Amino acid sequence: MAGALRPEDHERAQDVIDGWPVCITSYTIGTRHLCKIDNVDPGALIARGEGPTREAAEAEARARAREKLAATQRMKDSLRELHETVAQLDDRLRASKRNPGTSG
Amino acid sequence: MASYAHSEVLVDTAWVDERRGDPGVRIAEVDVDAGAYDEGHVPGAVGWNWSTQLCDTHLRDILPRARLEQLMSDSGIERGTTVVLYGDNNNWFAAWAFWQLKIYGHADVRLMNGGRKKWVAEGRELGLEVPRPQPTVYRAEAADPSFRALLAEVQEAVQRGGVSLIDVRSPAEFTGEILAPPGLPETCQRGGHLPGAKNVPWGRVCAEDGTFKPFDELSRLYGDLGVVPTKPAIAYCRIGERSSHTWFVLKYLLGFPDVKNYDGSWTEWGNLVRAPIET
Repeated sequence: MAGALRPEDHERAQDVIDGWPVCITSYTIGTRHLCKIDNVDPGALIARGEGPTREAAEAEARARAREKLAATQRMKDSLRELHETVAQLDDRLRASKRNPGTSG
Repeated sequence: MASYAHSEVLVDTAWVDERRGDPGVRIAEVDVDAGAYDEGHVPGAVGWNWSTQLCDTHLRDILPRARLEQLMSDSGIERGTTVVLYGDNNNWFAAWAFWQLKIYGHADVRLMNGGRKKWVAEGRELGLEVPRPQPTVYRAEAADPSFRALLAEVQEAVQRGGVSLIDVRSPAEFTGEILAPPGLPETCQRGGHLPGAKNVPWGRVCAEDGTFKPFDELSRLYGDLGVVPTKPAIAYCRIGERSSHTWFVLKYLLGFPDVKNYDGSWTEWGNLVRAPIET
């Protein structure tokens, strides 16, 4: 069939990028070196890269993945801070109910 | 070992390879990564984009009947065509397409077991040519509501009980530690899960090669949590696609008679005012 190719040098490995487990898939189609980085759960694509070599494709994908994972880390940190703040406010509310004369 | 309840809905890569020129079979690729199809696909397969061709982005709804008919027509599919769906990431979005085709009553829809991952790993041929099928006149059936749970039904299930609520997201999403899978955009206000829901991440149903685990393993996975065929079940995730995969497993591989996909999922429930949640 016209335009048909077979993927070659297919490799798939797990790694960790900035604390996040990821799956890195590399292969070549014709002369194109391709790399994709997925999160491990659920396995959604985070970033892809393409380059003249396998290493270049992976470096591009890693750089893009880092940017996106940094946003998730910021949200996770914000959520944790929010929960800690709410917990502190709950503690103060309970304390003020036990000791109505105190302010805070 | 017991066999799947409806094993006819699964085909393997070799089966597809042998029939990819068969005029009675239409193969469609549906990926998470919308760029994957253009890198190479099963020769002869059409590509469907889940985010534009398999949903109504304006209403936030499934594909309207008329657009489904158009998609099937443009893809050269007739009512009697065998439609084989496959995609990346263990057929994640292929299952989303499968769910919608069943909602609109297409009789013969199948998933290629293992999906794109297995096809590529086996070194099978990939084509770059985008097929231009002869359009058909396709008439879908009215949407079957028995495959889909809308908000009111889920609210009732949470209040009254008696329904297995299955959250198929990752444990970190289930507990509210994160609001969306790592690297994906946040789309809800609160983290957590539906009260009473059981957490069975969708990917646990697949083996390393992307194929579905055997019946007995799947049955045990859910049964150990009390998710059994004698009880109605509703699966949900973040936007309803991961849960369409679990819906497929419960309905077709395990034979649950009453299972629905709640496609509003956490992006609906997690944003609702006064909706109870657990973390």
